Amino acid sequence: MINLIKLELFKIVTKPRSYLGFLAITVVVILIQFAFYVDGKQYIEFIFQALQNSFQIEGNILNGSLICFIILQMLIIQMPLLVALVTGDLVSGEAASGTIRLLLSKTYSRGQILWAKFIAGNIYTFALILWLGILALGIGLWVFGTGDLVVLKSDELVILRADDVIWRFLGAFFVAFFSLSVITTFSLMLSCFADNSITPIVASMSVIIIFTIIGTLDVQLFDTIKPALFTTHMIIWRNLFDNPLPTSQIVTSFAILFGHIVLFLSVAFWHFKRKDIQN
Amino acid sequence: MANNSIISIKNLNKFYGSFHVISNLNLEIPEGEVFGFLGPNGAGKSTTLRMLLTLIQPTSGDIWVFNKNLKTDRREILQQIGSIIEKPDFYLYLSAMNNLKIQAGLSRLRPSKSKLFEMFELVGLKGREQDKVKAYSHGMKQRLGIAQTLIHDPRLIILDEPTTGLDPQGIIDLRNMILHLKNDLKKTIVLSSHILSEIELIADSMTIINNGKAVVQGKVGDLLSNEDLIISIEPQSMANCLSAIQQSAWQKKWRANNKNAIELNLSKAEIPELNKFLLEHNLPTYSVSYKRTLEDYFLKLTSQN
Amino acid sequence: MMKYKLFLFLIWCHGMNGSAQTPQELIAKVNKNFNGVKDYSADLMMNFSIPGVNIEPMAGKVFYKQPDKFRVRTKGIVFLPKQNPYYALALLKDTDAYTAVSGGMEEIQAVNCSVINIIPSKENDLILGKFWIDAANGLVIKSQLTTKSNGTVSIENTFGSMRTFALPDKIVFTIDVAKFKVPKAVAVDLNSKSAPKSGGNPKGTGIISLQFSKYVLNKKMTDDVFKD
Repeated sequence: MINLIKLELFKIVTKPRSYLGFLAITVVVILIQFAFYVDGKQYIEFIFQALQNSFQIEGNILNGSLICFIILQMLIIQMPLLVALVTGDLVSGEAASGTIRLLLSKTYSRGQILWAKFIAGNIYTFALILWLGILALGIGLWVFGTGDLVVLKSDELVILRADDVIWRFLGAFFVAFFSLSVITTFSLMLSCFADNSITPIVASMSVIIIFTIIGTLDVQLFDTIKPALFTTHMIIWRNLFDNPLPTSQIVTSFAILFGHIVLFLSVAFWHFKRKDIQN
Repeated sequence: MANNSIISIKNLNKFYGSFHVISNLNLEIPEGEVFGFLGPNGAGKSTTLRMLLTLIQPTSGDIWVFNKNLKTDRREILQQIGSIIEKPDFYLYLSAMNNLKIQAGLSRLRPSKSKLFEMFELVGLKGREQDKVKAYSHGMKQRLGIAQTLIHDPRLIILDEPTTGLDPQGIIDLRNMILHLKNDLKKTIVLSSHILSEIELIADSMTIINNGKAVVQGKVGDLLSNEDLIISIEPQSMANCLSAIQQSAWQKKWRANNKNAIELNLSKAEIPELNKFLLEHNLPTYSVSYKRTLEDYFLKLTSQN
Repeated sequence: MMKYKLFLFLIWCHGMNGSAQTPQELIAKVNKNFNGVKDYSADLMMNFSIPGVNIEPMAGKVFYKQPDKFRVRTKGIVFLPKQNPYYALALLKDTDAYTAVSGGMEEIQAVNCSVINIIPSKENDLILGKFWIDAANGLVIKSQLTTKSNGTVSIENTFGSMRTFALPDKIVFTIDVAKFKVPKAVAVDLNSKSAPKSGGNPKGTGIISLQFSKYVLNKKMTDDVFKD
């Protein structure tokens, strides 16, 4: 099994497409950091102008933590696409190129093969998040310095102390990875049904966009289904920056996301094990 | 299961919805031979071979390979099978060497570098190991496919339409490779092909399937020996000879003619009678020869079914 | 005109007052106590209750130097009043700049305080100042300043062991806060079901509490500590 996972990782690592995600993250993060390096002060003044009429605000607001938080905010739609670009291709790409025949006529069972692809896909997702963390948080802190984090909620500002921030970021990255693992599993599941690379990727993104729109619409009709949508819970990483920490909400979302992973994986296994390879 | 059968298929069925693709197929494939697997398009050849490789699941029936049941001993069986289905499959963005390593890895092997280079030399790709497969020609890909098939030293090799896209030289090379595998390396080869002349040249045994059923099975020579031959007469005077044949009882045996030869469908026993007729009617000939083709046999059987 | 009417009203109030000391005497007493400390540094614990802002308490250090240099140094982000707490006391020093009128007596923190109203005589940012003075000890228990630039700020002092130096253990600022909303373009919705932690004050009022400890007095502080 380890051997199979290594083979899957080797295939991912040697595919040029796999580096698109890393490149996109690098470009976006550097652009945002550069923009804030040049224009960050105006941005802060714009946000705080009302409060500055009544108070003198001391402290380094424009710090690495704030920049990292803004970057995470901005990348929240892009990250699922970058993940699905690779994980949506794990099975269907092999079907399109014919190598699925090679894979499934060997001694490894279909179950083992799919597990290996699932694990390799998640390792890729983790690598993306790790890269994002290194760039956004690591370089952000190095360039902009440390300090308290100002979280700009729609109904209030939350100011988290510097020594209270790092563990939240680590938790947020872990939660973000877990959320993206849902995308990994979802796109892998779709990949099992398709014989070409594009369909599962486009389908994954379409579902995410539609669910996200439903989740943001303030319509009573959708209120009953919103809690069941995985996109509703994928943004749970933001709650790690709330004060007090809404632990039960985070745990609930985690459980729902885990349930989605189990569901998608079960469907993937059910179909993949029974699928006739006719092409 | 017959004693020397490497593959034994019993009452194999496959349905797609209500469409009965494979219908109670029974097959015995002897070990150590080249076995020809023939049938028209849509007959079920590819489906059967894919079921052998567990790419398609049978609806019912049993497949025994190496005296083991494919349902229960899949791993042990597939460890000893190499295959090319329709075309060899590669990760085009990887080098030939990496593709071969992946193939070995999938067979749970970690061959040494020397073994890998040996494979490339065997299939005539020495010096091209590090090239990306997408830069390979069709023939090179075919040879790499053979290397992939042999890397884990299988007992049984399944080739589904392996000559697709090959030029005449490529076909000859493949034929020689198959004969080498059988004769020198003692492999069993199951070969499905549309180029019936190739099957006739190299297959020891064969089966013809049609509409998912086995129509006939046996040694190639035995099956064809009972069939009519095609007699080709090359007369000195085409017009005289053709006229004489058309005015005689031989007219019923007439098959075809071109400007140089007249063809008749006869059994071997009728040839002396024909010779006598030609002599009696003073019809000198340059040659009277016979050929027996699998193609005709195939078409005859499949049209009957 | 408005100032004149105010002046007359305050005169009337003074007439109702039975205090023995005049406003000027009280102010002189306060100034005398105030002048006793040239500079100090102290540990500070800040608590915040500001509408629209959820902020944890913060520890820091405070530095003061006569007459009105005041600097808070912390590691993190803090919201401080725009006026430093000694702005009011500094105002009292320049006795020519205002007219002091007695406003009667009022009890604050169980202390019977003399109320002094300050009306600037020159054009000033200050519109009106009100001081609740512990006459016996010459301590300003509470001050309320209405300025053109910052509205009304109320400063309440709690004195403890350092009362002899007129240094409070605690200062509480109550500030008018303009309605604040995070611009939608930058706001993040945390999907939080809990109500905002901030608030609980009267609408539009922010409260900043400064708790002082470990005072170090008169160490001839340089001005470097007040620079950015």
